[in-house]
Amino acid sequence: MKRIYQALFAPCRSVEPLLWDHARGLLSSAQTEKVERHLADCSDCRREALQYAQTVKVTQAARQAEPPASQTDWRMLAQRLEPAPMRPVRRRTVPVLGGAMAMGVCILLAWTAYNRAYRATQSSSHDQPRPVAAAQEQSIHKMPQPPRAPSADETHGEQIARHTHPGKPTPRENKISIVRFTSHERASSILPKRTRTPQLAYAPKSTVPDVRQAPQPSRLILQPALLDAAPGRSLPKTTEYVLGDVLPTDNHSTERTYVVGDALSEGRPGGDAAMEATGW
Amino acid sequence: MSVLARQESIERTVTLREQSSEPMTDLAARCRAGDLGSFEQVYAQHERQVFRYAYHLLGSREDADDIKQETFVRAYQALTGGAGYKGEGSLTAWLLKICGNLCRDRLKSRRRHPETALDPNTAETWWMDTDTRSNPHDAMEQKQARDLLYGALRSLPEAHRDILVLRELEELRYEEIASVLGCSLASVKLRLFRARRLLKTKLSALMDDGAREITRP
Repeated sequence: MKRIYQALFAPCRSVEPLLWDHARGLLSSAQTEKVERHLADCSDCRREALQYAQTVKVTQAARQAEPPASQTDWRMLAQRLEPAPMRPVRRRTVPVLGGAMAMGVCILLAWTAYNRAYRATQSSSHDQPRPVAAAQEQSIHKMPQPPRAPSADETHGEQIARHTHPGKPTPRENKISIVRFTSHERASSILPKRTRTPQLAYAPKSTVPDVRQAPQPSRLILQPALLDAAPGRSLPKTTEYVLGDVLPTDNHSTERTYVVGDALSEGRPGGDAAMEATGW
Repeated sequence: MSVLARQESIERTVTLREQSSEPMTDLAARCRAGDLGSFEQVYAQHERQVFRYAYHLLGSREDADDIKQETFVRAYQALTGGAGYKGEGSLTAWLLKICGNLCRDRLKSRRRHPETALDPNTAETWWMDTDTRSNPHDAMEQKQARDLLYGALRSLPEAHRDILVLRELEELRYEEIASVLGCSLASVKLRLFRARRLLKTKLSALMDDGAREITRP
């Protein structure tokens, strides 16, 4: 239907697609006759046919002109296609492995030496408080200390200590050190390395009782062995704790850990806090 | 690589091209197994056409050389990797499709990072490399025709240029063009008709301009 319409009412549109092949001489005899009959009557299509013929001539001439020779050949391509020859394994891997092992041994030795030196320093300065800790200890000593109560008024920790370790002295007589910190970094820099487990001292508020109701909120007991072992203690890290809080411990443990500080004397719970570490 | 070795390599390629009578599907099957000798035959059969197609699209011998090498590297990697040509359709069309994609990437890259040739006459010296055995007069006419055609092709949209190069310069069949361009046969015919009409218009305008230049006093 479309072809009939085009042949009757739009002959130019039906002839134009044939003009290229007509210029190249590729049409059948029937198609050629049809095109030439139309071209004899239509001057516009004659002009179009002339332009197509020129275009075809240019295209054919351009096709005959060979482009320049390629500068690459199969040998160059084959070099890219062939996989690189494998070197003997020993040449490449032995120095790498040897070097890695030597480096590992060096790092291990350096670490051991550093640890030994550090422990020696710690043990030599055990009797003398560290400068920072000493200064803080002074500030702690300026605080109004809780009264040294007689046996009837002894603290909760002392009661527990006496009950669990009857032969041992009371905590206040076995003071190890006094530390003060206001942040995680500060605690890490002050605390002895073995007790650098700040997550133990930084318990979230929700896990500790109210400061007002904590029994004898005077001391924070940090036991290095306890801190090192820390079985089952995975307290979330927080930057705040409340003065007098009792940090959670094991269910079977008799120790209690309190947060104390010079803020106690100023009545600012939760401010700068000092921790007194006491071993039983 | 010495000139002698290169000449030997070229002659070997030409010999392989003329002597090879093995079906492309068999060659491709052996290439898939990693047979480099079979791939050399594929290269000998198609390298000229791939280079010519890249040259028509890019208009630079150096770029066409790069693209040709890259095309065969990609083809080999695809064949040995189990992908690529599966024996359906024409291997030529598959290679030209890879080449066309690489050329389009190169053209995009050129548009993003335009380069200035160190020697502006480089692009004009291609005809000096053409076959010197032909008549100089014919060679000059062919050069003029090519300049004219390239001038018109450059002004065409990319899709029209691609299809004209494939059909009129590479003389591919409609089915192969459809395979290279990834479209239907009817679409190829329609696109080709539109591209030819546009080329005719552009070429006529260029020739008219040229005639006006000549007749100007």
